[in-house]
Amino acid sequence: MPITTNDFPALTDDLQEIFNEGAKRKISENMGFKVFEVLDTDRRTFDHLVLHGVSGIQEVTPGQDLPSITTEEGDTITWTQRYFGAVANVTKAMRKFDLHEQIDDVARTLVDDAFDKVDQSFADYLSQGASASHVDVYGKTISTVGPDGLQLFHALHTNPITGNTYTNIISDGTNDNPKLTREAIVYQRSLGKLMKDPNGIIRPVNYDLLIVSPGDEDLAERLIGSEFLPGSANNDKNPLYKKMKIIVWPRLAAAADGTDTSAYWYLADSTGVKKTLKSKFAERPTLDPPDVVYRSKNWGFSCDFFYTNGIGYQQYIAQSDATEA
Amino acid sequence: MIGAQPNWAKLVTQGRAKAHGIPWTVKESEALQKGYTADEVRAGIMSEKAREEQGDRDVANKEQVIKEAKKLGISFDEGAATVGDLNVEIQKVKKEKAAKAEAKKIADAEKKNKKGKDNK
Repeated sequence: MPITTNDFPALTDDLQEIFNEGAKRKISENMGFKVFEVLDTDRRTFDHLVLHGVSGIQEVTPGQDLPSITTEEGDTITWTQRYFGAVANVTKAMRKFDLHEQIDDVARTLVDDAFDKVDQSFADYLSQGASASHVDVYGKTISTVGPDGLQLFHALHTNPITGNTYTNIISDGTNDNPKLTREAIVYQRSLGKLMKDPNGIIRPVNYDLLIVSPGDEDLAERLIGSEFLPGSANNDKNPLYKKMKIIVWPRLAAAADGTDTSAYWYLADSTGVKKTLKSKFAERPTLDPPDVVYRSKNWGFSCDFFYTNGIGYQQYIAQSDATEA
Repeated sequence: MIGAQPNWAKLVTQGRAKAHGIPWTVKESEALQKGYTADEVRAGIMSEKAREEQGDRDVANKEQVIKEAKKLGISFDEGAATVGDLNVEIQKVKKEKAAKAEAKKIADAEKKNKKGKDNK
């Protein structure tokens, strides 16, 4: 077991291996990485433009100037990188008495904490999406509006060109925010296919992703995963079978502030949702060895990262809080 | 507050946000959809009753402004002058009167000083 600074590189390699293995596991387990568009950036502030559909394409006479598309037809939003980190201390006693399990656990806890909090920060954007701000998993109140100045889920999203609005609150045709039922899914899917841009052109949203918390997993599987319609008179074919996928996201069951959101459910367009939910990493979580060995003889391995989450064009995901109101 | 920063200035100008950093609530958005102007909703007018009451307040306000304008000696056409126009004129006259009063005060003080020196 490494005790002196000469042994330091060996321990660093060990811990980084544990960290990388843990990170790989977490990235595959955490649902946020499947729903959000997670990209790298070098910018501290990231400017994003949302064009709601432009009136640009027109018939032109050969030789005539082509009509211009301007950013005036869209909305902009800026997200600023935030910095997070912690240090895992490997004490002299851990090294001297060969407490490898403790050292291993310190590294594993650190990687779990980093990725779990990132995933919870993603989940809160959905579960707290009916508010313009929320207290995030790091304890800070953050503004979570989209480019139109409204929260993720709103009945009257606006655009800068016309007075047209659109809603991304799930409806079953009678009530907004219905409970999870086949009828509600079918109705919302048909609404999505008839979505119009501000200029009145149909730009379909294909709600092919059902996102639920674990409490609704069984029901979701019955509604989507069954080839036939349970309880139907002639055991009818289930038209949703294989047309949709289910994501069961444990962190949607409760927000970081403790709010119970287990009944909430979401429909998303698996391709388009990346235009709605965005995450930009200026630095992904890594485990870095200390530059110096401190007087305490602790070796402090740090994990730090820069990232920001944001909302783009809200149209590609819809929510029901199951209150039927 | 940290986090997302849309172009609030543009959104407020376009009537798509209540104020810088303050989005419309669902109720306010609904009122906008019903045809209430952004300024009305910002002033809390989201029903016909509230709109009528505000109208009555505007009438009462105009009567008061006309009275004040007449008192200050401003000549105007009651039918044509708006509350805004009258307020501008009132402020102008008040400013002129204040400037005159200040000038008179200074002149009087100078006169007094001169008198005092002459007496010595």
